Amino acid sequence: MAFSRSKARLKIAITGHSKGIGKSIFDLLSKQHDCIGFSRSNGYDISKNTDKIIEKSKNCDVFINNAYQDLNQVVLFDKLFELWKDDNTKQIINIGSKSKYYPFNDEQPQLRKDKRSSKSYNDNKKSITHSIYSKQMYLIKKCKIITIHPGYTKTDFIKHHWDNINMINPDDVAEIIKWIITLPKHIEIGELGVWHPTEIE
Amino acid sequence: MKIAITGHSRGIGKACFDLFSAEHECVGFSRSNGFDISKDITNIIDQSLDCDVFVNNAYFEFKQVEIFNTLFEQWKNKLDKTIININSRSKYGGGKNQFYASTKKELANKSYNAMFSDKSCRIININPGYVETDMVAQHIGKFKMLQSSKVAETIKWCLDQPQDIEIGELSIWKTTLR
Repeated sequence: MAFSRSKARLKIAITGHSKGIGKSIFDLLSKQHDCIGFSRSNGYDISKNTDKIIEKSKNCDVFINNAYQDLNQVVLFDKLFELWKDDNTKQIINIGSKSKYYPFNDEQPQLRKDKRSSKSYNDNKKSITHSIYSKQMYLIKKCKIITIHPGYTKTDFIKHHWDNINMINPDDVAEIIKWIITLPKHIEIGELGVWHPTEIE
Repeated sequence: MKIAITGHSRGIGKACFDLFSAEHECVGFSRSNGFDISKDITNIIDQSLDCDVFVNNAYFEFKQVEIFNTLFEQWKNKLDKTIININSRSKYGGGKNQFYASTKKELANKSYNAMFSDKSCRIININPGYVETDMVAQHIGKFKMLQSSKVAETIKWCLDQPQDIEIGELSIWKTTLR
């Protein structure tokens, strides 16, 4: 028996909606749902305006915690979780990274040139994941918490690698999120890693 | 596709076997038909080599790890092969059965190492929470459980992704466990 899918029109907040994975999510989900985007381009910087973003998002059904800036994804997640933890209609979707699986190794040539190569990026993505686990696994909560870990994705963020690494497209990640948000309320995809099967040839 | 499934006679394995058989050719390996992963891994691997997908589902101590390692060596350079490990939420820790959790953590570690090696086949790790199976029947009433058919549906979704997309890990459970 297939999953019964929700066809409800949802109100969805997305940070970092103007570029990369966030833009693909925003463009795809806007076709069926009401989306609000928060990016520096429209005056929302997650390093400075977390309270303003939370205030504008608290009445949404889904929050996509996508924009990256040091540990500010954790700050946003923690604040929103406090507001939503007892509400079984809410979903928080965190965009992590495949790099959370990496033991940092600066001998890996493919990791040297970009922000993903930095130890702080790997460490921050690990911190985000562990902060989420601590609430997801050990606290009694009703909202859904979903963490997606994309591998190399064809965005401007890492465009100098486009020719030498096999990447997934941001639209692939957006399609996965579209599938996840319409699953039945009682089913939580707690964590999902997605990447190209042969990233480095 | 031709799909091999260990532990196909009960629980998640049976749900996968029943669901996938509608569209694919499935081969099942269980004690009920003479295949015991605690005793004879070689025979199971040999009979699965011409399959496209291997669902490493049956549990016995560290045998899932041994099966994964052996099959990965055979399939790692083959683009059209997929290994699906049925892991567990217990790999995150917090469960009472520490031995079970350690075997599942080891399976996760081995598959992560494989994911980051030079490989071509797809590796998919599924981490279900409590599922309504005989194995966890003693917990019924204490925890909310998933139906094994829902886990099978999710595995099918992973498998149905294009060959250039690998759902390396997917964790699924009831939104509120208690």
